[in-house]
Amino acid sequence: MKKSLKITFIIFVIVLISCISFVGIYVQNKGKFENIIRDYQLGSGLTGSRHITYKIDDTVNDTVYDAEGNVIEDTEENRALEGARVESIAVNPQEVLTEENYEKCKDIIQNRLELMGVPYYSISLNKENGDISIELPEDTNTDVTSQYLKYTGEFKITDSEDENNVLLTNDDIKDVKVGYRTETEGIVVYLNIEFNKEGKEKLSNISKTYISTTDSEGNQTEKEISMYINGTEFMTTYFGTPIEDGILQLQMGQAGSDEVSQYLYETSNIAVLLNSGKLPIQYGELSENRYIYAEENTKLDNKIMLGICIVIIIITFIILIVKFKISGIYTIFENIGFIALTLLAIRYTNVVLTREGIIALGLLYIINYIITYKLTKVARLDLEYDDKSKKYYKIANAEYFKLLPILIIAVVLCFAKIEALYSFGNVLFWGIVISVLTSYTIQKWLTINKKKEVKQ
Amino acid sequence: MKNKKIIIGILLLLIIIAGILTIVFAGFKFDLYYGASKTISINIGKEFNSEEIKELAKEVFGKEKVIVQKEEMFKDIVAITVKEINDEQIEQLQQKINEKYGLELDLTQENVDYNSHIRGRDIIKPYISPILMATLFVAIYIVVRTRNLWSAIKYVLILGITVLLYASIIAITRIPVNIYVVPVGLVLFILITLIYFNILEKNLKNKSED
Repeated sequence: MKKSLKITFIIFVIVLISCISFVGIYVQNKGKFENIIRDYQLGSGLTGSRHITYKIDDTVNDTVYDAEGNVIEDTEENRALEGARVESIAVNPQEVLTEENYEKCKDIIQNRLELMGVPYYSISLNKENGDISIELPEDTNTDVTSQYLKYTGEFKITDSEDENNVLLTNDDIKDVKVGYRTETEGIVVYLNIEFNKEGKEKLSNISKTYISTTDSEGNQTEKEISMYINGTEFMTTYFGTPIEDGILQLQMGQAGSDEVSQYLYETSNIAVLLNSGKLPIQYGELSENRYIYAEENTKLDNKIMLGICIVIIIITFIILIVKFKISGIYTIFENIGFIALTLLAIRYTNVVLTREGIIALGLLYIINYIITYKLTKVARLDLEYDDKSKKYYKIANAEYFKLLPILIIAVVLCFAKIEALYSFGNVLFWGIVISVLTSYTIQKWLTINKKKEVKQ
Repeated sequence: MKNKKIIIGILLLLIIIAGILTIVFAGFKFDLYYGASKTISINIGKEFNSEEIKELAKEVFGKEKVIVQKEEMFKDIVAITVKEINDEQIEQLQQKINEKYGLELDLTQENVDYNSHIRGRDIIKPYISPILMATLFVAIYIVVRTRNLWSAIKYVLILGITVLLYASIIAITRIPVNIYVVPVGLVLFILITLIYFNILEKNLKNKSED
C-alpha cells in the first residue's frame, strides 16, 4: 500500500471510530432516532442513591400479671382485676442506650455493608439519639439489604422446652459460611456455622444430650433444641450423631439452578448477620427511606469544566504541532483514537463510571500524551527505517515497562468491591491496554514509514 | 545538595507534625456532603429546574453553600441541604417557592431532616484494604525487579509520608473534606508510583551500564 494511501486509510478509521465513540450511531426506531452505541453505566455518586435512616425502637411492651403472678391477656378488664399488676419492659432498656452502644451498632452495620459487598455507601451516626443514616446504591437488592442491616443478628440455641436455658450464642461462633451441593433433586444450600473452642465443646455436649432415645418398652423420647436467629425460631430439632468437629451444618433450601441464586443470596445475608455480631440495640422502622438524585451541576459549571478540558487538550495538541509539525498531527490522531477507543471499551466492558473513573481518564490522557510525545521524538530522528523502528520499539517497551506497577494497581483495584476503586481500576486497566495498542499500531504506522523522511 | 535535602526533610516533618496536631485538636473541616447539615424536602408536585431552586435558595441563604437535589422517581420533590436552617429562612423559602410555582405550601421544622456528620475514618475505611493490597503487590514486584527489599520499603515509606502530608495539608489549610478528596488521593498514589518507578528504572539502567 502506498504511504499516503495507508496514512489516509488509518486517519479515516480513527475519524470513524471517534465519530462512533463521541457522537454515536443513530438508527430510526419507531419514528425516533436512537443511538445504538451502549450508554455509559454511571455510578451512584453521579446518578443518585437511597437514603435510609434507622431509628432506635422505642416500643415499650406491657405484660399483665394476675394476683398469683400468672401472665394474663392485656385487656382493660384484666388490668382492672384485683391484685393485677402491669410490668412495662422497653425493647431497648435505658441502660443499653449509651454512646458506646450507638458506636458499636454503627460499626456492626458498616461491617455488614462491607461483608455484603455493597459497592457504594456512606454511614453516619447521630450520637445524641443513636439514629444511623446510610446511603446505598439503588438496585433490586436495596430493599432486602436495608432490612438485613437493621436485624439484631442474634443467634441462640436453647432447650426447646425452656427458652431461658441458653446453650449456644453469638459469642460461641467463630465463622459462618455458605455452602452448596448438587444432588439429583436439585442444588442444596447450606449454612455452615463453625464454633470457637468453647462453642465446639458446648456443641459436642449438646449433640450428645439432645437426642432421640428409646426405652426398654420401645417408647421413643426426643430431647430437642430450638434455634433462634434474629429473635425468630428458626428450627426445633434433635441430633442424630454427636458433632465433634465444631461445625453445625444447616440445610437452608433446595432448588433448581434457576431459583438457587435466591437461596444463596438469602443464606449469605444470614451468614453476614452472624459473622458481623449482634447489635446491642434494636432498631425499629426506617424513619427515612427515599431516593435522592445526585446534585446536578449548573450549566455554567458544566461549561467551565468542558472549557478547561478543551483548552488543555488544544494546548497539548498545539505543542505537538509546533514541535513535530506533520508527525505531531499524526500523534494528535493517535491521541484522539486513544480517547475514543478507551471510551468505547469502558461502555462495552460494563465499567461503572464514577468521579474516580473520570479522573483516571484524565490521568491516562496525560500518561498517553507523554509516551506518544517521546515516541514522536523518535519518529523525527534522521535514521533509516529499520533503525528508527528498533529505536521506536525500544523506547515504547521501556515506557510501558514503567507502567507495569500501575497495571498491577489497576488489576488489584478491579477486584475491589467499592464502586469508586473498581471504576478507577477498570478505567486505568483499559486505558493502559489501549494506550499500548494504539502506540504500537496507529502511532507507529502513522509516524514511521519505510521511505526515509526529510527532516522538517 | 545534602543540606537542601535536610531542609526539605525538616520542612516536611514540620508540616506533618503541625497536621497531626491540627487533626488531634481541631479535626478536619467537612463540606456539606460529609459534615452535619439539615435537609428540607419540599414537594413541588411537578418537574422543576434545579437551577431555579438554587437561585431561590441563594436569595434565602446568601453565600452559604447549598446543595439542591431531586427526589424520588418523578423528580417532583426537591431536597435542599444547608448547614443550618432557622424558622425565618424556612418561611422565606416557603414564600419564594409558593410564588414561583403557584403553590400553597406550609413549611415548618417538621419538613427538615438532620444529617449527621460522616466521620473521616468511616469515609476512608472501605478504601484501606484494597489500597494496602495494591501497595503490597507493587512492593512484591519491586523486590522481584530489583532483588532489593529496601527499595520496596522505601516505596511504602514514601507512600506513607505522602498520605500523611496530604492529610496534614488538608487539615492545616482547612480545605473542607469533600467528594474530591479520595479521587485526588488516588491520583497522588498513581503519580508517586510513576515517579518512583521512573527513578528506579533509571537507577537500574545506570547500574547495568556501569
